[in-house]
Amino acid sequence: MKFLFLPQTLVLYLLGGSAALLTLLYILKLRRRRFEVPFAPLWGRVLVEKQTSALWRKLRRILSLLIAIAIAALMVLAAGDPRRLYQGEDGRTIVLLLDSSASMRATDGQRARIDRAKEEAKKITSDLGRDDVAMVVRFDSQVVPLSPFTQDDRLLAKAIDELRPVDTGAEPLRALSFAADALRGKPNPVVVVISDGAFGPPIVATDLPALGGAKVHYLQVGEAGENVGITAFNARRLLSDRLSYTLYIEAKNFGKEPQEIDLALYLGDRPFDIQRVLVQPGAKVSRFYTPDVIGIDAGEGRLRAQLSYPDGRPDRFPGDDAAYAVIPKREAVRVLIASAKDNFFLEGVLYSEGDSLAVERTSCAELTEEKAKGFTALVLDRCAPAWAKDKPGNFLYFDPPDGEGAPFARSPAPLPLPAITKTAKKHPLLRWVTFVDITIAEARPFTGLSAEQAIVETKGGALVAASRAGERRVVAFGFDVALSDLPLRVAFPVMIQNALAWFTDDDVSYVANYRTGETWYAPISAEVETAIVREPSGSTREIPLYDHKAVFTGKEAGFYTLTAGGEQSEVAANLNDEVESSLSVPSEPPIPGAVAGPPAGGGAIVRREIWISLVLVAVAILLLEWWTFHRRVTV
Amino acid sequence: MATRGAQSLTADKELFDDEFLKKLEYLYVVSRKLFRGLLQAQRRTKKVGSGVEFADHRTYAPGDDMRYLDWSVYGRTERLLLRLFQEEEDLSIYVLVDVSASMRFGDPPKVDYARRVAAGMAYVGLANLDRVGIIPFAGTVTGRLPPTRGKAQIFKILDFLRGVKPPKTSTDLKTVASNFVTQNKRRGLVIVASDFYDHKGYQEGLNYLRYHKYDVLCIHVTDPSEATPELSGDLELVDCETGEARQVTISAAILDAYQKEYAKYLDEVRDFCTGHQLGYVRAPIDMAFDELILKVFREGGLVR
Repeated sequence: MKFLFLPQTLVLYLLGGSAALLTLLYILKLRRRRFEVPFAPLWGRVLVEKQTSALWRKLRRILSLLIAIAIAALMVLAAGDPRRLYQGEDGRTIVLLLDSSASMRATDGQRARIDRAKEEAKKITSDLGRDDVAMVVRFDSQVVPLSPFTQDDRLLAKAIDELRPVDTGAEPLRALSFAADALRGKPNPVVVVISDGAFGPPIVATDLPALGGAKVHYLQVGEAGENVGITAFNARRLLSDRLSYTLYIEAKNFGKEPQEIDLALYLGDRPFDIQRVLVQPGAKVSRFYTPDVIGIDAGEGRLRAQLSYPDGRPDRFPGDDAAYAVIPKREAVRVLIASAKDNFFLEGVLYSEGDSLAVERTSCAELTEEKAKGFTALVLDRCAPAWAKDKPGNFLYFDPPDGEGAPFARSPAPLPLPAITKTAKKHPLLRWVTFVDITIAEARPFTGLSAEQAIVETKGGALVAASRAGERRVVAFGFDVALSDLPLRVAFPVMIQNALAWFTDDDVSYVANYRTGETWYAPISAEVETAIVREPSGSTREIPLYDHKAVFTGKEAGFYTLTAGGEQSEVAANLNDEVESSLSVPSEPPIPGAVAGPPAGGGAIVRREIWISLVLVAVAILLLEWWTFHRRVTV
Repeated sequence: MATRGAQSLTADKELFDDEFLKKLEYLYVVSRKLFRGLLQAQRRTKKVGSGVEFADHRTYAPGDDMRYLDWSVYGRTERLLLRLFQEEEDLSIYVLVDVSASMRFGDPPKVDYARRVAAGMAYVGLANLDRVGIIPFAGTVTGRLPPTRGKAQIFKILDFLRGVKPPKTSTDLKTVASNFVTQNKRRGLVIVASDFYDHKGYQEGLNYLRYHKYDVLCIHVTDPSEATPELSGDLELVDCETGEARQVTISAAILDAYQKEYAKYLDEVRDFCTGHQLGYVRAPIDMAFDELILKVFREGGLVR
């Protein structure tokens, strides 16, 4: 027996409490009703004769107490809404897997696929057998149970009604694994998958998890049809000009008929381009926008691509008709170079960055703390002022001398021709950099570093080190670059750029534009442990930060706002899923071994709500007790 | 009918309203018809006087009226004896009205009924030129309207009865009878209107009156609903006069037994009265007071 409305422990407490209270009331000498009579001696004559029935009176009182306790117990049990636990051998344990991926928003005629799926699911839940139990589960990029195993068809229907599709693809194998786990050990397991079948690569039997003999049923919803959708939309910062961006948009016709579409690009609310394109069936069309065409400068904000039909007809699947991207505000980075002596390699790299870098130069001797104020990064070539030690800021050291201002301890003796033993390939400093075959005449490796700080290692220490502590970021080269062939490599300017980008949390890759359903790692510069994310629908939630990255998953396409430590940033997410956009439906169940069609109904129409019977019994006992009371059988 | 407990007394204006007064007049008319020809016979006393009916003889003494010599006796016995005649005298009627706490029960309250009956009896008495006095009582005599004569005195009697405030005390008929006898030397008819719920026993009180040569008529005021109280379950029964409380559990069997005991008690009162040559009339409050009074007359309650 299971209680649906009240926890079982509470029911037990109420039972015990009501019985104890009633017993206490019976035991206590209750104040009797006072009744005046004109002549008590008459009653005295009568009652003297009736003293012998005292024992029977006591028994009747106990009978009244037991009746009262029985009524109270029935009412408490009824309040708990008890249901028979599934126990019969013939009962089934059913897991209903409902596809809530993006393609379920598509309409077939006037009805969305998700509505059709809900209808099919409710048919099953309303036709459960006497001993059947069912669970409703949604699956998209995640698997989420929406109800426990229950016989309560109202509860199941409510769970089904609350189902909403999201802007992600479907993970059927993950859903089947969940069903397998849920059904383990349960008698007569059944899995019912209700979906449009947009699962991507065909599922083979070997992919399936062990379902423990569960019967799998597949209900197909949706019809194939025409659709054109945006399959890619990217904004990318130019490597050569960190302040400029290029755009790439791609659309595909998933239907069998050529389709003419309008492809519009918006910057905020301002359209800056619209093109009418004819897309052949099965073909893609792409457009690439350069800065001179789109005129995007730093600080523009939100980008949106919108696809529509020139004749204005509604799209069956509008979820892939829009795509989003964010261009964060960018400002030129101010860099101060302080060199012990001229370093043309270094200066050349920095000055060649163009408008994205504002470079000034001074000598180590003239470098003061006051002078360094206002610069985003300080490049220290063979100097390490003491005031810079532990100071917040961004510092790029080249062969720093020993002393108070040295960023890291160094090997006392120079190491000739150091061999590179290990590189931290995933560190942003080494993005697009292969730090091998670099010839360094001599180096004094940094020592005493942690594994995270050693970026390029050699025997005895690190040739390149990086550290981050609070507001202080340091990159240091433990050798004179002039005594190496590094400046002659492409890696050198790239490393410099990477270092500056790392200093400013500027991801040099594609601008933040994520795919829905995947786990995102959005950079956060603030020194906090959590951030608040506002989703496109307006809902907010708190998410954790790991290594200055906000880790979360979004299921809606659109713009997300991240707030952490008073700083705010934006990212965009898109569906970009050809499988979902194709709207194709399989001709056979896409799950090997699945039976097409719903399982057989439970048949019996049996009221499962026991509480009604309990209430009726309690009322019957109450009426009986009322009758006996008025007949003066009980008291 | 439920025993509802002590009731509020009828408002003064309603106690003796116009309807009541009409009935009083009717009673007087009927009583004259019933008693015509009997008036003189009814008003007999044992007192020797100048009445027309021979009562006794006594020896002639010089100076006596020779018209009353019994010559037939002289012819037979040659003794001069004077014939004595019964004194024709008006009757003193005393109406003792029980106003104890138990008389507040009933709907209408028994005390109201008793007052109406008392007023009716008083009016008939006054109309027949008898003296009528009203004595309310409970544990003792609580008031007294001295015997008065004349039909016009009825309003005085009505006012007196209206003004009776029943104390919440118990009945003690013996003490009442003792006080009454002390206060009223003149013998006559004592009408006791009561429910006879006397914890000390009504018998001694009635006997006391009888012993002191009063003619007693008991009007036993009853409330039929007292036989079938609507009680059930665990109760505390409290005597309205003594405050004695008793915790009881009322069941159907107990109610049946009580009903029998109640009927038995009424019969006991009746049997006592009839067995001791006391007039007895049972007066249920659902009987109209005028019917009761006529019943009293028809059954000869005033006639021994």
